[in-house]
Amino acid sequence: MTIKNFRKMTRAELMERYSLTEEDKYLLDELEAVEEEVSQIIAKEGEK
Amino acid sequence: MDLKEYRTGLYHALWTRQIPDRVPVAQGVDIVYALQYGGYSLLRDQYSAEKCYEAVDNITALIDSDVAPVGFSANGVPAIISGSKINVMGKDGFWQHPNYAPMKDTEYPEFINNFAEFNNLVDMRLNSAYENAKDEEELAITKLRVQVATQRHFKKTASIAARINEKYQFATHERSLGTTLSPFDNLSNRYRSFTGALNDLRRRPEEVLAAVRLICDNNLRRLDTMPEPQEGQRIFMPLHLATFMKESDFKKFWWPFFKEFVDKAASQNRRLFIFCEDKWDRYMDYLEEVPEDAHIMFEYTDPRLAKERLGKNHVLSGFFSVDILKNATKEKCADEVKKLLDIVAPGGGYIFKSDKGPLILGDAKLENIQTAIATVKEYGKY
Repeated sequence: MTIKNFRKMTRAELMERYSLTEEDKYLLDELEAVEEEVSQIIAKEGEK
Repeated sequence: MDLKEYRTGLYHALWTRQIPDRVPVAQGVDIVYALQYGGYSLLRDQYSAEKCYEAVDNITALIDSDVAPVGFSANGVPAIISGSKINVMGKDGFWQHPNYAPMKDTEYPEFINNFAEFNNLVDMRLNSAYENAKDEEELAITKLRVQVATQRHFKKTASIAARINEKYQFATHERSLGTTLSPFDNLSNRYRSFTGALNDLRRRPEEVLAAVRLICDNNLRRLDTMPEPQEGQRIFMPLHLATFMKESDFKKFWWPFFKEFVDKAASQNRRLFIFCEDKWDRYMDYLEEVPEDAHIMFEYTDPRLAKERLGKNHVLSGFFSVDILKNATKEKCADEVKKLLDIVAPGGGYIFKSDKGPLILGDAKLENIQTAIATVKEYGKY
């Protein structure tokens, strides 16, 4: 399906969504990296 | 000959039914053990590729195995994103696997009548973020996040493995062709839970048989899509429930479907790495029917019996109790290694590893792991 309404979650939103703190810095880094990759994939799909 | 060549040669000898220079060693620990040993925070650092690499490098320098000694049991980020109910992180950062059944015992008709659709439903039930998605688009985005997180995890572990293999010159003899469960074990693991699947055998045997048939057919189709195998590449099959069943049930619900899968794998020249969990002494007649050249690892099975019945046609490993690595003195540990090698090493066809990999630091004393390996390398020479 075509995804139209994706928006990358910010670090603060990720912390809230997954109940994390700054102590979880590597997990947050990883979740941010996932958001970035997902955003790129969806953008590429949108260009097709 | 360099070290990598020597180590690879040990395994090549096993797979080609020759006697190697000595018994190969595949003793390892989990990444959790490595992080704890290095004093890292499991809760925080398991997500850092660099911290994991440091921990793996640190412990690898101390464990002189012939293959990379650190395995990765946990794949945390996808489970966090999907809200998995079967991979749940404890407060200490260790991943737990609750005995959860996403399928009710009354749902066999739905399972049997539309296997694909029912699998989608099970996926939803297994993951709270899928269940709670407010629409199809949010569900698709969550699944994409999980897919990306899974790929990132495999890239991370593959990159660590490549650096470690290069640095320590390990044999890369046993590359995975994927993991497959025996169909009845799959019914238990994914759908009905350990206790649920065993209860269903008695209460609704015909439905169980039909469901296991569908799972088996699906596994057989997946075999056709696997890449061409190379030497040492194996399909890993951990065998869970067989030893908890009466032989009559095993013979009807478990064995025929497992046998169908392993026979087809053999017909495609795909080799197997089978882990016979628990004690398989009473099932030796069946194991003798496994196509030749499997690698069969054992937990509590009698090593003498397994060597006698299976040693000519398969490579064996395991048997060495992880409790010895945990509790014994160094001297006792060395003695126990020698006793085991006296039974399983003659004629080749044995790889040394403990019956379970130490997961956490409390599972095994490092000095005993080192003693066991040193003993194998000296006493296990042919």
